[in-house]
Amino acid sequence: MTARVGIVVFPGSNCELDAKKAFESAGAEALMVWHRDETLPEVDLVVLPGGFAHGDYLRTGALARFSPIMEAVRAHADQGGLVLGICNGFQILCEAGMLPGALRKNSGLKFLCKWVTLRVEDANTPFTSRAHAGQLLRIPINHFEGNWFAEQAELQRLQANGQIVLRYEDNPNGSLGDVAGICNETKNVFGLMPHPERACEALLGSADGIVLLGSLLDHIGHRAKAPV
Amino acid sequence: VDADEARLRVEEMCEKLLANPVIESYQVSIA
Repeated sequence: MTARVGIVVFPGSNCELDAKKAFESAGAEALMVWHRDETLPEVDLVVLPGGFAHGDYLRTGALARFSPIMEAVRAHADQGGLVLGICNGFQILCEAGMLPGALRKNSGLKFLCKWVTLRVEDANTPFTSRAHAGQLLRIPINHFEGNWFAEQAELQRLQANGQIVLRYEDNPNGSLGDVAGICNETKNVFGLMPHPERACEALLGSADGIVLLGSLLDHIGHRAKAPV
Repeated sequence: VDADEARLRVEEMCEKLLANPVIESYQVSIA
């Protein structure tokens, strides 16, 4: 069974082809979905890629949450479908209320484009099942608003529920609790600031991104085989 | 639109788009 991945393209997205290439290399079928569409094709996973949707006007992700496709993305998630938001996609998911917290400007007020080391906090998610807790992943970041914030009570709730999926080893942007990636309570919606799709070939500096993307494809494969 | 209705509408705009209440606060004045 080939996993089907729908990659949403907003005006201003710029990592959709990287995501397509990465998922296809990992064995999935990748379909592009225009943000003005009101329905999703039959897909197992929806990806909101990186970029600057709607020019980041007002706040990152603030306008994209109103794109027509977002109602279908929310319905897909509500039915247990997998959603992955990378960088700008993570910002959109937070603005849409599909993930908790918000992404503020980096604490140093500088755009950051560099390799970082991430620590897998929770391997018991569809996004990290190929990893083990504590595993280090080398994956690049490329953002100005990656400084994740939530109220302390919210952070504690996420920690208690195992929703903190990835943390920075050396926090580059001021993110609360060194958070690099979180998931929702039901663990089918995941957002992260780093770009795993840019770390899928050793020739490009790291293939650690395959751990995350491959975990998703494993999960889809196992679910397809599970008895109904 | 009376003042109460105007306030409700503007507050809804703030909550949904104009502000992100996780990180921003807002104040509505009806003149």
